[in-house]
Amino acid sequence: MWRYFLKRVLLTVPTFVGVILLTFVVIHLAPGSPATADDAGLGDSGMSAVEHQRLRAHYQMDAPLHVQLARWTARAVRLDFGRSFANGRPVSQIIAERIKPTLLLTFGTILIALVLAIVIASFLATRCGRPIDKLILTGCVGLYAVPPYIVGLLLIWIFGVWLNWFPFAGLTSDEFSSMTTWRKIADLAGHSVLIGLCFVGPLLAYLIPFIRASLLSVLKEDYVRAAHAKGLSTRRVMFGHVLPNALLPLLTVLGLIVPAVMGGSVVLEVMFSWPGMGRLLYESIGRRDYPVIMGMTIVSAVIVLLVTLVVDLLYAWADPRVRYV
Amino acid sequence: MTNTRDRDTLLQIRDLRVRYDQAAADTLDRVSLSIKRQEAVALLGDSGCGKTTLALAMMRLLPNGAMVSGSIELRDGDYATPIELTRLAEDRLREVRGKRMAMLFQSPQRSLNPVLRIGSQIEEVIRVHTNVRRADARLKAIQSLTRVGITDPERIIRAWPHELSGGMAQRIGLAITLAGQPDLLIADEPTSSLDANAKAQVVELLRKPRRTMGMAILLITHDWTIARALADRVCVMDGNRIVEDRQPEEFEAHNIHPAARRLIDASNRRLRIAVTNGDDVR
Amino acid sequence: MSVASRVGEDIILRRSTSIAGKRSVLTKFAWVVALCVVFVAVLAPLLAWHQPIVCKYQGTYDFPAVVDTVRQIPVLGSYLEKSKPFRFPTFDARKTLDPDSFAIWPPIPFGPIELMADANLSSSRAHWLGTDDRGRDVLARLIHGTRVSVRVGLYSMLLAGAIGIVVGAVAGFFGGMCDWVCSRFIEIVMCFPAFFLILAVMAWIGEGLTGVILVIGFTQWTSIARLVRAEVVRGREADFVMAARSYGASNTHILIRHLLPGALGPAVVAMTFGVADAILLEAGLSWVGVWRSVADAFVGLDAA
Ligand SMILES: Nc1ncnc2c1ncn2[C@@H]1O[C@H](COP(=O)(O)OP(=O)(O)OP(=O)(O)O)[C@@H](O)[C@H]1O
Ligand SMILES: [Mg+2]
Repeated sequence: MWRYFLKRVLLTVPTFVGVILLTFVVIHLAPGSPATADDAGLGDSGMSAVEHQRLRAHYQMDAPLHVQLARWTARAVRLDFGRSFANGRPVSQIIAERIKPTLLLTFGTILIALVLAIVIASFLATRCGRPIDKLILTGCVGLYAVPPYIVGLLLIWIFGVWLNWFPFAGLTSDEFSSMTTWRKIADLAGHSVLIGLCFVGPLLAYLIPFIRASLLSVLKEDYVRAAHAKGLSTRRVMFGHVLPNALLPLLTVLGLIVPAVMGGSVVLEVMFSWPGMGRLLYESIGRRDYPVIMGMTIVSAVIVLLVTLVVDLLYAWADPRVRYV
Repeated sequence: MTNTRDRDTLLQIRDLRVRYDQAAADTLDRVSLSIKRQEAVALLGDSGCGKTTLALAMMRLLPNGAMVSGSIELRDGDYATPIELTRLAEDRLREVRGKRMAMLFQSPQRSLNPVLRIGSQIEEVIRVHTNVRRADARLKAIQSLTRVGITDPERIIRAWPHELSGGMAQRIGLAITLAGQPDLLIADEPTSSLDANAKAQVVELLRKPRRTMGMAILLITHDWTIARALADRVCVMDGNRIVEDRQPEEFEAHNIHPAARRLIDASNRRLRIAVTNGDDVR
Repeated sequence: MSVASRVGEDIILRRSTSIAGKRSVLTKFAWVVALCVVFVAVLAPLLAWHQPIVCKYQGTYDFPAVVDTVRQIPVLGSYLEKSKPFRFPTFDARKTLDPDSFAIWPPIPFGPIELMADANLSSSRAHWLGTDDRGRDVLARLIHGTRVSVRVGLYSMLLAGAIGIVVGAVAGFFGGMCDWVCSRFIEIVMCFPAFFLILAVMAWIGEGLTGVILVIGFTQWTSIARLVRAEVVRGREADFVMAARSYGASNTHILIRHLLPGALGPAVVAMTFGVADAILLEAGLSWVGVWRSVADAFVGLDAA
């Protein structure tokens, strides 16, 4: 097992290197990028000559390509992405400020969605084919088909503007710093409700049918019958035998969900003025703040890389069959 | 039926009918069968005639949509009131399963949970039926492994199901079923996935607990030689009913049901093939 | 390839079957909706256009909207000449010059980029969904927006499918070092949250429909590649491949005749889902404002 763990951890090194290379390629090969732009290309990307000069200087594009690559790698490994064009602050510092709300949102909502989806799916799997099962499944398909930002707009209109139940702009209220701890938590939670729903809803729509299908296939297995035949209680069979097997594929889905949720956060964070990475990306694109854009691209990839690593290790720990491959 | 004979009876099935959800016809049609204490009954039949279905019905493990009618009575431990299994409440059923009646499943590998160690799957039965601490359960698990002829139980107890051979998995399945010391063991084709040598060993393993624990066996098989070697009584199923119910010696007679004849001939043929190949078949 | 991705290979497939069974009412409903969308997209100029469907002016008949509908067909369309432009208000003025003239207009007689006199109108008989902040008919923009969406979805997924099938087949078939490199490459692209990578690339290359299609195509091929790879690996060990090898079939023959047909099914399913995802991505991109609103881009493409 430890050999597998070590191998898997080492495997992240080439992937990380690849991430850095790919971002380098994006900067250099994109038509209209500072590296290739002649006058015509400039018009394409809508870059002014001054901006163009600044970019060339920032990425030191007058040096030979391999030197540039070496410099880029050396800096990226240290997560040093230079200074923002917009306000001159170090990019890593800006990202560090904005990463927490995004991580809170991403992992918080995934956790909530997972728990809810497991409970609901277990409920449905034991009532397979009944009206309630069909109803909820149909609801899931419907919800899955609606783009999250439509959900967001609806929620803002109904609960934010019309009913005025929840705040829908920002992470905290203005007087946040003067609140007691409990008020602070309540304030934060209140601000998270609507945007959180926008994340949890589509996640549920995706996870419930998935877990339900997985549960149904496990429930048919001989070892579940055998567990019943031993005289175990239904609860013990469910928690001791069915769920550990049915939730295994869920782990792998987790590795796919995290990048999807993070990517989806751009639109929703902008919509809810959530001070996270998605909104930072949006702002930076508006300002053509290239160092921040590239920094954030790498950081988001590294987060996903780490999540995939953890998921893989967890999987190997949970499923004895894969350890020795 | 007189009272004295009744006393010996462990399990009595009367007019059992089973129909699966959305199936066109009954899978079991008015099946009646009784098993006495410590008796070994073999149930012979072609593939798909409903042998496993009967076993599952006895354990009340049929899938949810299946329709069951008829009665399955299990005599209680003190020979007093019979328990009607078809109508037993779920929590009482749990005391029957594993403890009074245990079932050894047809495919040994598939009836072991792939993500749990062998040890915990054996301990589970012991702990749910007897009030022992974890350490004691482990000791008992090791004992039950030794009982089924596993030479290094300490290692096996820490092994995962996928690391076992088919014969090994079958023994562990047996160990799990024997761990609860049931009055009746239902063994669903315990030998069908094994080679001749392992077959012989499993038959021997089934004989022994019968002697030592006074256990009754319902042996499901389509192999006449196994039935002959182990059973006091042989029932033959054809289609969805039981068509023969006799002592094994009586099958030498000529007026037995054609289905039984066919099964016996098939087994004899296999035996001949095996013998001409020089293999050792019991 | 990492364990998670190895085991998760069928996840995309399962997404399709677990949400809706193959022959369920929902699936049929989804097909109907999808066909309607494509229908609207293809026939957009007949539904909403600033040109009449049929008109007669000074003795000659003209079919401007029909011509524009045909002109959007990729290769064939370019052979057709653009018809004389008519404008809704001016046509009526011409009527005084030629009393014989007449015109049949599409149900919504406005194009997506036409500026009306009034901005921010609410619904009315003339403008069913009102007009936007620059005085353009919202319904017309919606209808023509569908065209862009469908186009982005289809083209980007064709591109993604091509890349995915090639990378997946190569990785799965040749195995070893080749597989390792391809799998790493897939993993690397998968590491980037799609929207982040797309936005980053778009920030460099600027706006444009072709850009959107290329970027989505070049980033969204990973799941297809993984599926194809898994299928090919599974097929490689199958008996019929062994048999083909035994009578001396070449690698390419085996790959194309025996392995790819099996892998294509899952790939097409993944591509179908990819079209939906791509349309969502595109809508998100235009929402974030990385590229100009949809209908403008479509007109831009037609002009090009
Ligand atoms: N869950 C089920 N739903 C519907 N029909 C079933 C189900 N399980 C079994 N059957 C049908 O019931 C019949 C009897 O099956 P069963 O498994 O009892 O046969 P068997 O005698 O054990 O056969 P084998 O020797 O192959 O194990 C078969 O025709 C089978 O198709
Ligand atoms: Mg059977």
